[in-house]
Amino acid sequence: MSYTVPYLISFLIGYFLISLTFSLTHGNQRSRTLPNSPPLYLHFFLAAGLGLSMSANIVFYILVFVDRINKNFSIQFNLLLLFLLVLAQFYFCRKNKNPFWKLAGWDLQKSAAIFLIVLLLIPLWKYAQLFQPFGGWDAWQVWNFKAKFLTLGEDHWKNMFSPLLWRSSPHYPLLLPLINVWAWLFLDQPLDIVPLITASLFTFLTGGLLFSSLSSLTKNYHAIFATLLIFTLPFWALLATSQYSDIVLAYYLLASMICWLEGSRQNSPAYLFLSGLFLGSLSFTKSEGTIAVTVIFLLAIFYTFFNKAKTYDHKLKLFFSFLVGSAINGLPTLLFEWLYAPMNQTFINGLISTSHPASLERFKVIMVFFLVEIINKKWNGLWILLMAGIFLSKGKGFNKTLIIFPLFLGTYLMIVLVYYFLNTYFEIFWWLQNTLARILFGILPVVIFWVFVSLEWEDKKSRSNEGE
Amino acid sequence: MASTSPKHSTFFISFLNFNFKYCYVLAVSIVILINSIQLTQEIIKLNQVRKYHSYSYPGHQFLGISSFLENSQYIGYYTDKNLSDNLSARQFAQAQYILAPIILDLNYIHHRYILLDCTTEQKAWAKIKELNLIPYKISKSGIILAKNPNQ
Repeated sequence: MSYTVPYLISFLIGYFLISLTFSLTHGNQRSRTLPNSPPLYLHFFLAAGLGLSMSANIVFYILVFVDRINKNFSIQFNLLLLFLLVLAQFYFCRKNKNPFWKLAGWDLQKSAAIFLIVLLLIPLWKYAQLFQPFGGWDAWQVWNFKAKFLTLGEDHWKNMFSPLLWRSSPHYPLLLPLINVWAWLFLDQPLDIVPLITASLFTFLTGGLLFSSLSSLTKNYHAIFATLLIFTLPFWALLATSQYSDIVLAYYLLASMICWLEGSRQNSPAYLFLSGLFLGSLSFTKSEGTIAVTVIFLLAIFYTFFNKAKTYDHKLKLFFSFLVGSAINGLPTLLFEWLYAPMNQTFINGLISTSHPASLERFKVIMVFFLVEIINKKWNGLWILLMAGIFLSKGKGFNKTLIIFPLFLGTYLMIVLVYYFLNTYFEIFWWLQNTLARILFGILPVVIFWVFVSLEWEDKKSRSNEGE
Repeated sequence: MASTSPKHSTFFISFLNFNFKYCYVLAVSIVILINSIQLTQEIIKLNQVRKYHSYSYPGHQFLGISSFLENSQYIGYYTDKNLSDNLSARQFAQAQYILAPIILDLNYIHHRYILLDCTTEQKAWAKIKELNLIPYKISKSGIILAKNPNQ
């Protein structure tokens, strides 16, 4: 029972925060052209992740103010936030005559598909229990280590930024450790099962989010194939249950992109605000998340202000919603970087270093390794299949609405590859072998979403042509 | 040669689309099937292995040590193992995790407590003698916690 309470509180926080966002921005419109909430299943899968990031943020703020993890304050402030959200939602529901707890949109087929996703979690859980019950290497060296340090470190928790712990990457952001700390607050001791529950939950949420967003966007049950593609892949199972931050990054990146797409498609400030919130959380997952946030943020500016279809005031309103969301959930990252984060000790600028220069040979190795990784048998031809999907979509994946996906993916991968080239601290073969697959793992749900949406986009167009 | 009428060409394109879409769904289904078989095989294989070899977590050798460390925030860690080697690095990382929030310092000499994790117990004892340390606790696996009287 104690295991589920923190996750349940977070889910409710996320649920009511999303409801309130829609009530505030779309609820009072007369024409009702915008929805008063996201589709039911999408709402659930967004709520769980958003709520966990909000709870982790509260734990972090209390850590900043009290200078140690405080169980009572953390729980009380989470409950207070939940109470305030429920109260506000109740008020706006009465004012706008909307239902308080929405169950419209319940669908037997979608529920069955989600039940299938839950069933698929059983082999993944079994796999994790058998293969790595305590997670992979970075789980005990980085993520769970930080969570344990925060929980037991009392007033000397800042020792975790000691240069002696360079192997634990002290400069990495703290979202995943704080989520585990939040769950541990309800237990007597930091049990090892909690990080495994968190990893499994994020795996489920990523699969569920992929299905619910695709099915609501394309109105096609092929969406379940997208989730099955990743849930059955042994390499995905391995990384998703490794208790690394990569699955957390994958979830927040996907959530942010989905909300961005819905926001820009429907000109919805609520979705763009949510996209900003998820983007803020993404920046707190790990360094790659911060890179992704920078890329998406710059693309969002260009996309919003170069879209000719809207008025300038409307553009500003949409962008402002996105900006406020990003600022709210990006604040913990800024505080962390400003107050605590030490310098990255595992960085040597290869362009100016004479002892570790970035050579042309290194560049060639990176490019070849990247291409070899794409066709590596551990992916079972998934990347080739996805590339074929984009080819078959006949350019629809590059249309005005979806262009942000290839632009983001291309720019993000380019920056990552440049970073591999530039930072010559690590021996390049070892580094690529240990991390490149995780970079691809992080973007995989977004790529699958993009490919499936592109394919279905074509179908809709074809159907309308046939109608003509 | 007579040109195809627009109606016919639309039909032809939609026919191709139809085939492509279902071919793609078929390809995706095949990949899912292959994935599922591989995952099932891996789980069955692991299940069989675990019947004879339970999961080992070398860090568990360090369980309980923290209760003897009197609120120390840092302790020394001496090892004659090569930490570039995967197995030794793994054991060190897991020891650090199990003992957190106590930090293991490889520059061991300046600390009151020193943890000696050597390839053989004899080597650990030799080091204790060399540094005039006082042995404090010994684990079943031969890891020795010693006090440094000079600190």
